[in-house]
Amino acid sequence: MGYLPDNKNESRETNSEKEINQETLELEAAETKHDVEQDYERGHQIVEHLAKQAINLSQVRDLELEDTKTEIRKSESIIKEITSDTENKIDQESQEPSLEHLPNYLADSEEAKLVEMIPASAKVQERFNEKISPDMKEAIATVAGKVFNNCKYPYALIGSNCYVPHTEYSEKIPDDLDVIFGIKDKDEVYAELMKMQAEGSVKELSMTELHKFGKEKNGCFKIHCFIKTSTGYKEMEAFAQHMQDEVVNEGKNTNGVINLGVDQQAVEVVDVGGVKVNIGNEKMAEELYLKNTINEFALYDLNGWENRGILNAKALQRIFNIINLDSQKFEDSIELMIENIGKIKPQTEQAKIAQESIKHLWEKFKSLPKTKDEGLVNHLMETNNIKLNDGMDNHEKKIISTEKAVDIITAETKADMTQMSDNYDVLHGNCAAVLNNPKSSPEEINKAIDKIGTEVKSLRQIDLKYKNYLNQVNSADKNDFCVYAAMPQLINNFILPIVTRLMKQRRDLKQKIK
Amino acid sequence: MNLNNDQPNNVAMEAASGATVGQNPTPPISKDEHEQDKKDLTRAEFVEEYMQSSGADKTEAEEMADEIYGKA
Repeated sequence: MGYLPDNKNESRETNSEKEINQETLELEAAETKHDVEQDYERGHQIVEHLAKQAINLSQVRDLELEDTKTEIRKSESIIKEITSDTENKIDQESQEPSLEHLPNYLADSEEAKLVEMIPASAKVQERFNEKISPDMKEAIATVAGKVFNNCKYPYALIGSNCYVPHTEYSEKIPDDLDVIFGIKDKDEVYAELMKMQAEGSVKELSMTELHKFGKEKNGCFKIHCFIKTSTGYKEMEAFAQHMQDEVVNEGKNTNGVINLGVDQQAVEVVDVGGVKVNIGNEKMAEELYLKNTINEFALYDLNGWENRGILNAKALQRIFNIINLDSQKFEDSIELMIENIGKIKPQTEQAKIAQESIKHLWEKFKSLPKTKDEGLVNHLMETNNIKLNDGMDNHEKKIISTEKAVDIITAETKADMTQMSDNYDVLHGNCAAVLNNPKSSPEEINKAIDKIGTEVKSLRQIDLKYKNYLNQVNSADKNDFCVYAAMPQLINNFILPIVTRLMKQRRDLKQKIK
Repeated sequence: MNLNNDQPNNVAMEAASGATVGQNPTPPISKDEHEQDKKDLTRAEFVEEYMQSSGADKTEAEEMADEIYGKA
């Protein structure tokens, strides 16, 4: 710069010199203006470049910060896990396993040797105290104290009463009671429950042998009843299953999700109002839900519904329950869960189908857009007007939101699948009757066409609802997978085939009227 | 929670040696039946019937047909 004339020098110059210099000055001014413009442009470019660099740097830093935060969260989770495991071990090892609550227990039997009995850790005991409702605890204490603690062979509470104490964040309140026990204790257990029914502390007692594929009996007996509490009744299902003797010595099949006393297992003993009760340990809970998931997703097979049987909306809850157990890392454990399905023994064809099916859904999910939107879990929370308690950190909020969203979508998909299936059965029967009757009147035919119209409009609304849900999925939020997983199957296995069939019937009805 | 399978026709039972799935809806039309329906009803017929009965416009009916028959 420095092109501007010196005012003091200028004032000393003559008029003629001024005239001569006027041109020079104009030239100089033009040059100066040009230089200034160039400098301005260069400066502008430099500032723009620096601004861009600053933005990039900030974005990189944000990403780095996010990565660091993720790493810290992972490390925290690992530290937490190690600390918790160590505390549990110290806690459990400091207590002697006691069999005092099992007066008839055959501790030397092959079955008992396979089932390790561990006192529940302080953490599990505390959660059991806090999270299981008072009336459920009363029912558990009653039935364990009077019936199952008198068993000769291992027994354990499984299902939600076993899951809830093994997870940090869950607002689930178990509403029924599931027990597994040895087949050799069946008669005594049933006799004791009959006695309780006669006394009025049990009602609607029944026992049925389960069937494999609805035909062949499988040797597992289900005892069903309601246990009286001071506020009402709690439903119980108890399964008498084969043990070591039946499976190994007699060559019978394993006939439960978890057959106690066949493979190495561990149960934890919790104190329920002074009564000691066996519940499955965390590993047992995980195995239970993995096997349930196999069962349910084997039906969601890749090729559609070749194995159509029972499509369980609860499949989503199993996935959530697995990844929410203490030793898991919630949404970061989905891939591990899929991997673990492949490790469940025995590895059956169904297990392979289930693994492929979930893997396929997971890949499909990951290919969906990563948006800045809130995701489907949050969308379901908002549209159902569910508010979470203040004071939860983001991790807890995410888990509880997912748990609630899974419950919502489970209930919704189950209701929709049931409605579609039931309506179709009635409508299809009605249309077939009109079509097959050579004497059907035009009025009857038109009425059938109208009914199809009503049902198709309803199916369209259901279809649009789920497509809207699919549009809400944000694949950047991996927890959205828990609610996403049911929808492709619901559309492909229910909506599309039913709509196609009804359209075919509509065409046939129209042709009949001509 | 139903843990043991006493439902008829549940092939998944073998997978978990007796796990249960409770009272759940069954898809009413099998894969083979659906494939046959697709052969019996042309794509064009489907689009026409769907538009007439559901209230959907042509674009939506075509999208539905894409899902059933594959992209045209």
